Amino acid sequence: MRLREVATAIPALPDNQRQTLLLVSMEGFSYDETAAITGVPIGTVMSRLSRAREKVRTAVSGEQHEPGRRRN
Amino acid sequence: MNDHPHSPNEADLQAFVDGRLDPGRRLEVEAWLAANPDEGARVGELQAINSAIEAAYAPLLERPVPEHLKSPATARVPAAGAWRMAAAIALLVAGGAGGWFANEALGTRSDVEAVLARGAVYAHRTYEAEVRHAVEVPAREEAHLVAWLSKRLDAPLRAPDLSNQGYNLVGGRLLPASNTGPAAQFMYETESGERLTLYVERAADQRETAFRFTEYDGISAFWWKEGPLAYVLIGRSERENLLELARATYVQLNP
Repeated sequence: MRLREVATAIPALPDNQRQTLLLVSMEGFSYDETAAITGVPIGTVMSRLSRAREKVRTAVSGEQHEPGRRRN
Repeated sequence: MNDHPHSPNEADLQAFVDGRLDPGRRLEVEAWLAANPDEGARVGELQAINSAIEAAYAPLLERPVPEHLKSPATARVPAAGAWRMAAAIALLVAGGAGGWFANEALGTRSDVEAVLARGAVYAHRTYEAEVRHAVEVPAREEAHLVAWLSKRLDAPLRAPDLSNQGYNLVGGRLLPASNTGPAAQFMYETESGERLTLYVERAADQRETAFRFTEYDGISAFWWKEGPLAYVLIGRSERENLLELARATYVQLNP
């Protein structure tokens, strides 16, 4: 995992996805806390988190995740 | 390939990446990932991204708050939290389009706390004026009340005895809570009819806190977290008096 690529992919995320990812991954807030902070249901937190990570992963690996395989 | 009853959904996989599944579920997900190598590889990359975020931003978390980011709002949060929060803000501002989030984030800690305290104060206000239906279960059935609420919150509750402070148990009730399941409310009153409530719900995390004071619409509350539970003591008495009651409650709950 190349740090530089992760570090450049994160600022490119949409605001709500970047906020969610950093609250969880960097600040270590629980999903409940993140939901309270961002004022959305926990399901939205989880989907933002998933989308944010998938974008970073795609940016880093250059590989697209097949949408058909995503489960909710 | 996802039809198995134990197949994780996307939220499970995110929680797995964050190390936040309980041990039993984690083992199931691990087994499932081993049987689904494509997903296993993807999840492995997500874990690596998490590690990279920590590595990339760890230095930021150790830096002092930049002078221009200091504000009365940051001064309110505990020191360690303030550094982390300011680091997060600095990062987000540096990342562009973060200005609006800076304002949001400055209130972060108190926002989380506010959800708990506000719910407790609303519950207090709803029932403090009730004459005939102030409680669901009266104090004479205290053993049943405590057992019932403990069962519903899935944690051992106790109704503290505040009679030495002049407050006698009236009874209690079950309430809907913010997002952590049901909450319990124990109600007390003085001879003159002044009411005090102790609101208990499952804490969103296990971080313990000291007493925190908050106030809404003239109603004072002290709240704290201990073990799996968060407590809010609410009343209309003076702050110092309420603090004494909070201490008495805390001592009895943590002998």
